[in-house]
Amino acid sequence: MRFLRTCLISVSLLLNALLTPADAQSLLPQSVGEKARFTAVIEMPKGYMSGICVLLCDGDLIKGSMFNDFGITFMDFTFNQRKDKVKLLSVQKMMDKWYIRKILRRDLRLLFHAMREGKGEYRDEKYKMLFRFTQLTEDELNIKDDDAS
Amino acid sequence: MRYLFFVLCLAFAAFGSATAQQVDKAAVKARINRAAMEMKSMECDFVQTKHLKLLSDKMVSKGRMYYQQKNRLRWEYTAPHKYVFILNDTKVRIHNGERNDVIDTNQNKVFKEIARVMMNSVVGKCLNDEREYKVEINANTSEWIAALTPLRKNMKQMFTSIVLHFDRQRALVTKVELTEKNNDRTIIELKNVKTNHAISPNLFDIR
Repeated sequence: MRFLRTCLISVSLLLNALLTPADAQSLLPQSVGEKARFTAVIEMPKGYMSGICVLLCDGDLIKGSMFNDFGITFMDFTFNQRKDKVKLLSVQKMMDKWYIRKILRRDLRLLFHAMREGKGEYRDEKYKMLFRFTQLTEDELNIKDDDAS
Repeated sequence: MRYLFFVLCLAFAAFGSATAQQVDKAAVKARINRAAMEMKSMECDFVQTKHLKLLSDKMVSKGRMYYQQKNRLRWEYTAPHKYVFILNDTKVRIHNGERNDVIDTNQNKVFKEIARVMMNSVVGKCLNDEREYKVEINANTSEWIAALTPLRKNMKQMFTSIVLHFDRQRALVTKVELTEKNNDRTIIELKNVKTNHAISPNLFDIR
């Protein structure tokens, strides 16, 4: 009887563990020095920008750089997770206007909130912008080191 | 002691002349221009390494490049993700798996600049425009190294310098180094370069 009860409790715990949805895994790098790489697309009403975004965890700070496929930087930024604040360190001249910076700061912050919940997408309904970050896999990044300079 | 100092001076002088030789700038330019004129087409593999100053990191991409005189360029990334940039005269087609866009470079300043830099760099045409760049040329035993400093506002906003490495024997670009205002550097190395081979015109198709 005691054995049967132990078995039933074990099965019930196992089922509970299997059926409870796991917490969505954050897309942001978690530990100090960890990096995450994404293909990044920002769609706007009059065009879009695409490229690659690299994020680095530096304690409370997430440092990031987004550049186009040719390697030309769109922006460098930091996201202070404790203060919940995005700081733009450099922005490509074409986009370097106070009103664009304001939108970017806000939208990147909200994108990072979504990424914390495992979602790589944020849609800004007011300005009709879509931010879509797709994590690059190890296979995609497996380019031989001797190729690089 | 005086003798040792003299020997060291001689050694440094010899090392200096071996690493950075004086070059006849006009002659080098003429040789590169001739090679560019004779080059009807070119195809090669490339490895692009972006050095990120802020993150002390690098990102490597690979792909294949095709060029056909006069204004046709196909720049195709195969890793880490697929991205194709085709320049055919004034039109640019970009295909990134999800989207396929055609842009008129006359109506888009950014693409006009990117297309111009990519094409003029790989062919070596950058050296000719003295209103566009201040050009300094050095040499070592195997290479000519042209350091270009942008003079025009649009270019200055993007790059602080462009350095082109030329193979001295073939007078062809082997490496391009682009340095941005935030001190990020992108190095593009061209490998397995073939010139004047037949290239299918379909590769430059804009439709």
